[in-house]
Amino acid sequence: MWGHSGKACMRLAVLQLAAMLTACVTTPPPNEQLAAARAMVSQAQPVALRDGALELNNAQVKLARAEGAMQRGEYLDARIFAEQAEVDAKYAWTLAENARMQRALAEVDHGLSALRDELERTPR
Amino acid sequence: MRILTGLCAILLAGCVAIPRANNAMESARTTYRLAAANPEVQLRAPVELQIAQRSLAEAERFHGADADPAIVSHLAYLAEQRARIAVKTAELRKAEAAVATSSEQRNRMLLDARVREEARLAQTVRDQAAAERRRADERASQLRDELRRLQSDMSELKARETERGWVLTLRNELLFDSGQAKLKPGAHKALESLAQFMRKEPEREVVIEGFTDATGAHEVNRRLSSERADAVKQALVARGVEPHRIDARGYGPAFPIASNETAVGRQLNRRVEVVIAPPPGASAGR
Repeated sequence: MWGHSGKACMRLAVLQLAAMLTACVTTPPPNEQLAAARAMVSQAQPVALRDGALELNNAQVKLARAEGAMQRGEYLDARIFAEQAEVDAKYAWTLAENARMQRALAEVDHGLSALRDELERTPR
Repeated sequence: MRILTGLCAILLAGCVAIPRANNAMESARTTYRLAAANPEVQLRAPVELQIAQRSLAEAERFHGADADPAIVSHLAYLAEQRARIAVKTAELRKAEAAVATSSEQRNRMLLDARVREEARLAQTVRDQAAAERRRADERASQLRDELRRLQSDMSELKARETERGWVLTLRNELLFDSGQAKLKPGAHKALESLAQFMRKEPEREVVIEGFTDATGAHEVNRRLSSERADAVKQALVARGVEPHRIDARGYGPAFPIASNETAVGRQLNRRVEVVIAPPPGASAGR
């Protein structure tokens, strides 16, 4: 990622920072980040239609911008948009799954109370 | 030279697209703090929380080192989204666990209900069987009383309980003249008693079986015994007993109850038996 921990790391971070100030030209192509973003967006796409739709849209827009920046050779922008697209897509997926599970829970609980009512009505 | 400086400024501005690094950091810290303080998140999404923590620490490091605000804002954004993901993951897992618990509870309730229902059915079956036994006992003792009365009416009648049911034996001398299948007028009282008994026990079916001794042609005897059994049946029907309750059969000299070698034995073998079936359903007759 962007750095590690500890004192040595701090120095490394400063070095990275220095690199980054000249970054606009020297950042390597973020192939991994872009691949991760693409994978996460395609995982979220089929589920996040109802819940997490906004977040999915953010992810898709950012992914498109990352792809564009990549083609233009603007690797820092490409990396930033790819990384954001990935977390946005992951968030969209989590929102969608959570909503789905909440609905399932409501359904199961409803079925449970219906069953309880029914069993109480039958004579013992 | 001026143009070069200007270009540099534009280049820098391109990188420093989002100058609100402080706001982004503050927002990320708050979101992470809330997530980390949530016991559900600690319990159910510890890995996601740790990822958010590391992400925030990295943003703090760059922020502390006065890095490009655009980079700091970006890292802060990633940290905040990861904290949100941790919170929603905890909610998701909590719901998953609740679904599992509810399903399990549902299965347990269904199982309990089935066990209770089976116990109830078994009890019903036992109750019905007991009631059936009681009714059968009542019918049996009622029959015994009726037969005792019948026997006291007719001294000629012999009643005995066998595995085929109650068997009433009437000697032929009481009912028929020798070789005849026509009932004697003297048989009237006995037949009336028998018919009365059958009217009192409307659920009972009887088999009337005619027998002869072994004297004479077998086929003649068989036909005679058959006609005699039928005559008894017709006499009972004439006295108000439903025909379908009576089955008349002739067996001739078959099934002797005494030796055909002696006069007394032959007299005992010449008889009409009325077999009273055990409770409805079981079969009677030979």
